[in-house]
Amino acid sequence: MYIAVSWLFQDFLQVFLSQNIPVPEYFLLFLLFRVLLQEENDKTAVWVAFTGGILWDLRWTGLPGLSSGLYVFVVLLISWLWHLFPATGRMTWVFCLLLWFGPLIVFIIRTLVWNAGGSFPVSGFLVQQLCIIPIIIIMGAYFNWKVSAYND
Amino acid sequence: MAGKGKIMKGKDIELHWIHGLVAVILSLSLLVASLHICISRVAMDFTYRILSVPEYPAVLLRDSLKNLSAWMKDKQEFQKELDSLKLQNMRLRGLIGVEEADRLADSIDNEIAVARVTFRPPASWWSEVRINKGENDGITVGLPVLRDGFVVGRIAGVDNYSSWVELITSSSMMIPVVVDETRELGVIAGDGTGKTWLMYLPDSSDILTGMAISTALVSETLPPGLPIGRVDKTMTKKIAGSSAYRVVLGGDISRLLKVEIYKPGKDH
Repeated sequence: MYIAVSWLFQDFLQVFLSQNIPVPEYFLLFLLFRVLLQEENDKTAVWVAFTGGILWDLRWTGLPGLSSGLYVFVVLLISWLWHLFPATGRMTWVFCLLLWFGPLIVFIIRTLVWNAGGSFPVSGFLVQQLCIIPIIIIMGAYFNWKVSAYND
Repeated sequence: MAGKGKIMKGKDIELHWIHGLVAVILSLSLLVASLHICISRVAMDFTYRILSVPEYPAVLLRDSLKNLSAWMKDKQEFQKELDSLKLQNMRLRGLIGVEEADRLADSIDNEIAVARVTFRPPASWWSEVRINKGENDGITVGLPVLRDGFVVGRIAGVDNYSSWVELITSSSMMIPVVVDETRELGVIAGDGTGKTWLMYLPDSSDILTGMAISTALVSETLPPGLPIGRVDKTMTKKIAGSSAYRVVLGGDISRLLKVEIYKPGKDH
């Protein structure tokens, strides 16, 4: 449910900011959060990422398949990286780093596609990071609390 | 069990990779297809129509902020324009003030003609003088003649280049006057010896030394309100049965080298 809400919130921001600034990838962030917490089945996560991406493309990019492919790829990549770590090595900082890394890949690829040959959008990147990092910290705290509760 | 679990987990992971691969291939196929098939436009329009409902608050908020920003900008521009207009208005008022002052100065210059006393006959020392301004300078009979702003006589005769002034100290000169403080009317007349007297005031008059005397409205020859001098109540005499008071003239008759002739404009 809250993945749908995060998609709508991202869409809301895109409308509100009139596409002047690249909006933070809240949808992907919350999807990855659920995947890493293993609250979402990986198969389901793949198709949720696909659907969210298709909707985003139909609404904003005009190239159906671009964001969906990107989201699916990122979900697979982050999930794979997460599973590379043994259960004891899945620390909070790894969790946060992977959550941060996912939207970063999307931002870089989007910049390469839409801003090919142009200068790196520093202000857009900073705004994105300012919007995403506090949420990642909260998510990390939640993960930490959950692991502690599990260990207890 | 543990081994079975591991096999199941391995199968799940493989399945999840297969799903992922299918989703990526599907995405790429859609991407390629969307470049050639126009069905994506229909889908985009449909998505836009559906999403326009949840997006409405964002549109409203964005438009409101844009309007607010535009209003603030307009307000600032209006304020700047208003300040500029105020400044301009002030400058224009200043210019108008300068123009009015110039006009007033011109008007005064035109109304006052300065003349030099060219002759003062010793036989009629307190009665008349001749000045170097005449008909050609716009001087006419009856115009008041001033010294330092006080009436000292009036034009009695005019030639082309000179005029004769009958002095206020002449015994044949009688001018209706008013006491400024009490508004009492009287007549001022010279005695031919350099003195002037205020006559025809009742004995019960409240007149005091130092009160100002100026030409009265009842005068047919001189315009009203021209200052003449001040009352000196310490010197009185009886003329025609009533008290006459000495008037100290404002203009110095003894040093009459230069006079001003007042030519009232059309407004007067």
